[in-house]
Amino acid sequence: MITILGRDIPNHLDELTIEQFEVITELSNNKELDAVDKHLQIFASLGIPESEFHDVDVADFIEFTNAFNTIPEVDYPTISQIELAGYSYTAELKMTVRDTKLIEKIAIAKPKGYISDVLAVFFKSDDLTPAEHYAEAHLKLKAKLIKELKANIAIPYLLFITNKLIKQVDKAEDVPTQEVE
Amino acid sequence: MYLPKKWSNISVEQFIEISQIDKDQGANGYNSELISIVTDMTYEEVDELDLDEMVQMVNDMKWSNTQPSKQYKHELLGMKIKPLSKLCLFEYIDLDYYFNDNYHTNIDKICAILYRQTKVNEWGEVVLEPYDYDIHIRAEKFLDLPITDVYGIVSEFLKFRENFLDVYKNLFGEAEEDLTAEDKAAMEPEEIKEVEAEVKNNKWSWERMIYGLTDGDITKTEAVGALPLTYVFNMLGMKKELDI
Repeated sequence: MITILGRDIPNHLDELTIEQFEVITELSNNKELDAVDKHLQIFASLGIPESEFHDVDVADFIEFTNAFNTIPEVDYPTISQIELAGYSYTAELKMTVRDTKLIEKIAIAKPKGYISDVLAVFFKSDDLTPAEHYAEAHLKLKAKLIKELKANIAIPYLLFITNKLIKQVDKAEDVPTQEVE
Repeated sequence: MYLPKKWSNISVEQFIEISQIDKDQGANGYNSELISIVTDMTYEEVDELDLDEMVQMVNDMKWSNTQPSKQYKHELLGMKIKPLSKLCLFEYIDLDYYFNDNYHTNIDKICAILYRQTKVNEWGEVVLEPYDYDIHIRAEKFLDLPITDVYGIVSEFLKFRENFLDVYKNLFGEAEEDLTAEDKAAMEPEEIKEVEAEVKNNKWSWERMIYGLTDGDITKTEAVGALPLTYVFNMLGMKKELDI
């Protein structure tokens, strides 16, 4: 947590909720916003209204943003079990083709706020059949509940997907373009 | 599990199915359908594979990112390919339709038009069967053949059509596309009417041409359709030049 203008706001991944992390990620990736607007909106999303910064000196504002962005490098352990609304869900760092297709579909159709949807694919309940697990309504509800969890849970899974995709792209390179029999 | 090693291991039917895969669904969605089509695995079985397994399979099938060979067999299933220079009007119209629609997914029907049964006539000459059979029934015969037996006819016909359109370019107007709301906003009402009439003409261009050739007598349509393509267009060219 850091204190800005007398308010405590979360800035570490084990303090931010996944919902807050999704908003920050979206704002950070918004190329239409300059650095000042990005941070004003990020702070607003965490509970400090933009109007409170109107009289803040630029040098102080830069200090706030630097403090907010100073995050220690932490190796977040993989959390493989979570509890949501009294039900237990487990996940593995493993993706089937079906999981991947679904995650790909989420990334294409939902460019923002998709982290909770991705985690909803990973975390499965032993009590559910595959059809029940992959049912749209079930995934949607689970994603909504996951938004309340802390963002550090998401990191190992996001890194896992990123590494898989990089590996996939690497393998797809050097594809010949000439005709073959 | 059997994994094809080259295009010649892929049948025409599989090639059509591959061509129908939705490419907008993302790479993994595309690849999983591809694997299911070329192996004997169901979609569900592919879905259960670990991603790494599928990536490895796709990697072993890099040939699928290329085009099949542009060769083709001149004789297949006891039939011979009809030389493109000898196409009749109706054959060309149908080929033009299937190519414009999608020459990959229609390749079986394109084969059905071009590969023909033959017989020796009373003069000892080899003659091709007339174009009066059901294309869809004939097309089914080609589905089990390797795609490499026939794929080359695609580029052959495209080349032929390009040359044909060039030779008779004075008979083919520029194709007008449907006007968008934006186009219309930037145009005068008279201009809009003109373009819309042209679009309508293009839509019915073949029918309009046949109607003109038969002088409006639709009972002559079959006879005109069976005329050699080049003869028909030479006549049209002459009519246009002499304004008759």
